[in-house]
Amino acid sequence: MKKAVSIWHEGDARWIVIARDPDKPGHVIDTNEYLFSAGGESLLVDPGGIEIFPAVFAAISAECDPGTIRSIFASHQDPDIISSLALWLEFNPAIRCHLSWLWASFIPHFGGSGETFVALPDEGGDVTVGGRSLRAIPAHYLHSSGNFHLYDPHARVLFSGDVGAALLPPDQQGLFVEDFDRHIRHAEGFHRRWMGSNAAKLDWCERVSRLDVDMLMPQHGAIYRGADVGRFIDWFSQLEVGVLRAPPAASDSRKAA
Amino acid sequence: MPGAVMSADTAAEAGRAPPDRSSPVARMTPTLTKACTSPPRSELGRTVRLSEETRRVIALAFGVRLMALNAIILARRAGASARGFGVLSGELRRFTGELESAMDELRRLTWSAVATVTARVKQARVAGVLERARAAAPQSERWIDEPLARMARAAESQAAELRATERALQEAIRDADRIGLMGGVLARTARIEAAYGDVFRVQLTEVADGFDRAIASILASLQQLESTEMGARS
Repeated sequence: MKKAVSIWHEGDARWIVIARDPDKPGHVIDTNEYLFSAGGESLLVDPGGIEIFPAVFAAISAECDPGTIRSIFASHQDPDIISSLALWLEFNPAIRCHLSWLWASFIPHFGGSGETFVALPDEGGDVTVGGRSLRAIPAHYLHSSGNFHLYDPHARVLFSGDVGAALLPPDQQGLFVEDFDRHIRHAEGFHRRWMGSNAAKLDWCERVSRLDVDMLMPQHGAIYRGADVGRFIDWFSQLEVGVLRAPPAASDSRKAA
Repeated sequence: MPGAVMSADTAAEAGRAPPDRSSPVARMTPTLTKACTSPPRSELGRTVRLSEETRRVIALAFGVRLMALNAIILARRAGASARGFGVLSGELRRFTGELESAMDELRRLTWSAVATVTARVKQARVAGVLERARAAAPQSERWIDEPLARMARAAESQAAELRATERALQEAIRDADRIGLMGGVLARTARIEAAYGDVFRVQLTEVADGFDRAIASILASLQQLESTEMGARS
């Protein structure tokens, strides 16, 4: 069963990660979901696929009141990101889903009505939760053509979607990156294959390097903290992506986004 | 096992406590979830078969309509000796119009059933996942029971809707059968009339045989429709 772990808090505001499900079937990729709560409201970030809904819901309800979830942020359109939408809407039909305008008419195939979706323009925008403002920052083509990350300037955390993701082996299931060099080996193939554009990557690295980020939180794998955030941005900026230079290894070709 | 309610044994096997069934909604839920989950998949398959068979009858009826038009022209060329055959061809043309109307109604009802059944399948899947969430975390019961009860109410209303569509479908199939039998009578009579076609006898008989074969195919399809429908009731 997944566990909800608090990774940042200040007053009534907190970030929770829902991660690591040892009971998850092997054919379903492991994902991290995040919950931001403030002022009695919560935002669920990349709520995950339909198959893992029970584990996510159970983990959240063990930690807090899921009734406070008023909104969902979907970084992009993939099934492991947002196919559970219909279930969350069964639970609370008033939930609003923030996502790229590009996917606003695609994701309704997973569920929701005309009122459900809040389309973000390409340049991004603010997402307010309990009076606190989070910033949806563009990450287009990393990997999806309509892709956003979510920055909390107060907590100095950046939810980075598939950027920073790693497909970790069973013996490296820590929640945080402890040994960057050892960890990044499990991120390389994934980034080379899944990140679509060197130009988009460099633009992202340049913008994110100007932000104050204490934690970079990907949707798969471990969370980068402190100096590892800068290490990751440097590493990513130098990695050649968007080119299929050789047949990928079997582990690289698995869809992890 | 999506959609299944976890029994105490299953929960024990999974190393988890069975869900608490103490609340009224919790006690209702097994029945309600069953209402959501038991019939839809086979219903969907059946409605798809009904739809396919309906499409086949419409295509056959269209073929008979073309044959009837050709037969009317042929009867005119044959003159007085084929007047009866011409009248019958006109009747067969009208028959195809009636049959097509009946099949349109059948198609409308079938798609209405498909829409309801699809909604039920979707609902059943969601109900199954919510049940799993509830079984995974007994503390989530207070949040899960309400949507489950709401879905169960929707499932009951959908079931009533489906029953009404079912009755209308049976009636529409009976209507189509009656029309089909009339077509059979017309085709047989056309063969008799063809015998009086004088020098056009051979050609008229060929046309009448064509009618006969096409109507036989229509009747076979209508029979198939009826047995598919009866299969749902048994």
